Amino acid sequence: MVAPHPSGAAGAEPAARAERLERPEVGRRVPGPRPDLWARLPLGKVAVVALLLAAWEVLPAALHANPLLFPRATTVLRVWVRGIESGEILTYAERSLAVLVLGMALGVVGAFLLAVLALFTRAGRDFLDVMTSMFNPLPAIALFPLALLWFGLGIKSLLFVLIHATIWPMALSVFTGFATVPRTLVLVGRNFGLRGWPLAAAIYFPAALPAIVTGLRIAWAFAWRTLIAAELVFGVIGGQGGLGWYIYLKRYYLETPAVFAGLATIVLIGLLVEHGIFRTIEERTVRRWGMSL
Amino acid sequence: MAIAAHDTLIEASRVSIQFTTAAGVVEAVRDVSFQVRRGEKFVLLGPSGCGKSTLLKAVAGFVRPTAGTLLFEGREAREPGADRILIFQEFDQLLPWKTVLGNVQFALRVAARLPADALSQRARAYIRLVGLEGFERAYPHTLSGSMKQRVALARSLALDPEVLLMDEPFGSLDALTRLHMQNELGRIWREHRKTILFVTHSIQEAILIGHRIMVMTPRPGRVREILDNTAADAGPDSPEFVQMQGRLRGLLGLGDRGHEE
Ligand SMILES: Nc1ncnc2c1ncn2[C@@H]1O[C@H](COP(=O)(O)OP(=O)(O)OP(=O)(O)O)[C@@H](O)[C@H]1O
Ligand SMILES: [Mg+2]
Repeated sequence: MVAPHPSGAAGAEPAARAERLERPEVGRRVPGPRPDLWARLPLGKVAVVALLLAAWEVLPAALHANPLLFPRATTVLRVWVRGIESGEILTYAERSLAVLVLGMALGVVGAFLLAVLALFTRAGRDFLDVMTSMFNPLPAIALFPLALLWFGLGIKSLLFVLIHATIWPMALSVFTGFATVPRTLVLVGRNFGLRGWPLAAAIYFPAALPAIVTGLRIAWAFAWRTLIAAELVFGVIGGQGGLGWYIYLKRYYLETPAVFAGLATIVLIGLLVEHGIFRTIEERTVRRWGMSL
Repeated sequence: MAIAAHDTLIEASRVSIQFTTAAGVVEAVRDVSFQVRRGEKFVLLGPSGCGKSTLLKAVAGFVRPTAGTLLFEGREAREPGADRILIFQEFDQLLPWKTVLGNVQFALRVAARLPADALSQRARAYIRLVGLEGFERAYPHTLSGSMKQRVALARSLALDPEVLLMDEPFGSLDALTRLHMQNELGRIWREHRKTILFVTHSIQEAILIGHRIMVMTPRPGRVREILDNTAADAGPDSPEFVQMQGRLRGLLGLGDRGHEE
């Protein structure tokens, strides 16, 4: 390390000197190595999980609980591993995710259309405003009975509530994202000769990305909960139930450890999507660019 | 083609610009006429709100004059174009999702349509010109304010525009850094002889930078006077500089002992 500002050696150009000194440090910091994966592991949280599991293991016996109603952690783990190995749980999870991805994709496309309408027309803005405030207090699952009446017991009803769960929060985020793109950046893009779609792709879209990612995250959380609830409460959909249906079945046959295993799978998928997908996207984009909301 | 016509890059004749807002009509500039010659540094000096930025945006093609004609290379500047590049005061003019190199390359790709290898070489050369070698891969949010303005300058110069439209580019910098950047701009101008239309409300900066200084009145901005300025070479402590300062203060209605912001 070079000692900064050797005393008594005041330069003729202090500003230039200061910048020359800071240069190598900043230059090295930016492309610097990623922190070690182990060092980033949240040890405190791991400890909490371990404690919870230990408590779960001893609690049923301590409470003299009926193992049929409250199985031990290791029992659940065994059932879960068996369910994974046999492919049973994965099959159900796959069905849930397939419906979810389709529903979210439709909802996201619709959200972009609504957001664009809202950006360019007064009516579109009013529409988005009214719809989002109206549906905000209404859980998407509450529309499911209606969907069943309209579309019957099938994937259409599920898609209906999934689109509904996704489209409003997503449209609002996308709209906000595009509406708050810094004016200066738009001027810069136009100054370089960009207009229309190229301007949207080069300036508006990346500038709105933080809001878009946030919207996707909220939409995912809503959609995932809605889907599981729909499967749980209304049972099999078109003969091909997902994870919610799996839990429903296992409860019916009183296979309580499998009910827990189903719940654990739902939690795991949630964590995986949150950390594996959204955190990664954020770290590679919004955080690296210093654009946090 | 006549030599005189060639020499004039920007010609404003009796330009007035009004904005119609919900609150009514705002007259930003009225009846402004001036000519900017190719290769000179022309400074617009005036109080806040007198329409300096508006005039710059009109030259850039973002704002249309309500009356009068504003010619760039003999034609009306109706659309923005990469031959007139704006540099803003705000530090948010760099694309945050691109590195220093990415920002300069982006401009070249979009506006100059260079092939990839030429693009990278040219971008690096201009990053070096503004003294940011070693920062090519840094993202804007990791840079200081003056470094960001240097990147904006590099990005603009790399496009080789006919004119740089600089809207108080150093206005948000501290006094010391500002002085340094003013010197840097002088150095770069001596190397490239780029036409510069420079907006400021600092008398000192106007004298340091301008070959000619156009003093404007408060809103609606009109031309008070256009002065030739050679005091920059004489240095800030020279009698010439001090005299110029006094003259500009007088024209701005600040009196001899007026303070600068
Ligand atoms: N888009 C706009 N819509 C309405 N009024 C505007 C708009 N742009 C500028 N004005 C008005 O025009 C006048 C001149 O503004 P301008 O930004 O050109 O001033 P300026 O000389 O650059 O001031 P400053 O030194 O503070 O930057 C101001 O009264 C401003 O409110
Ligand atoms: Mg201004």
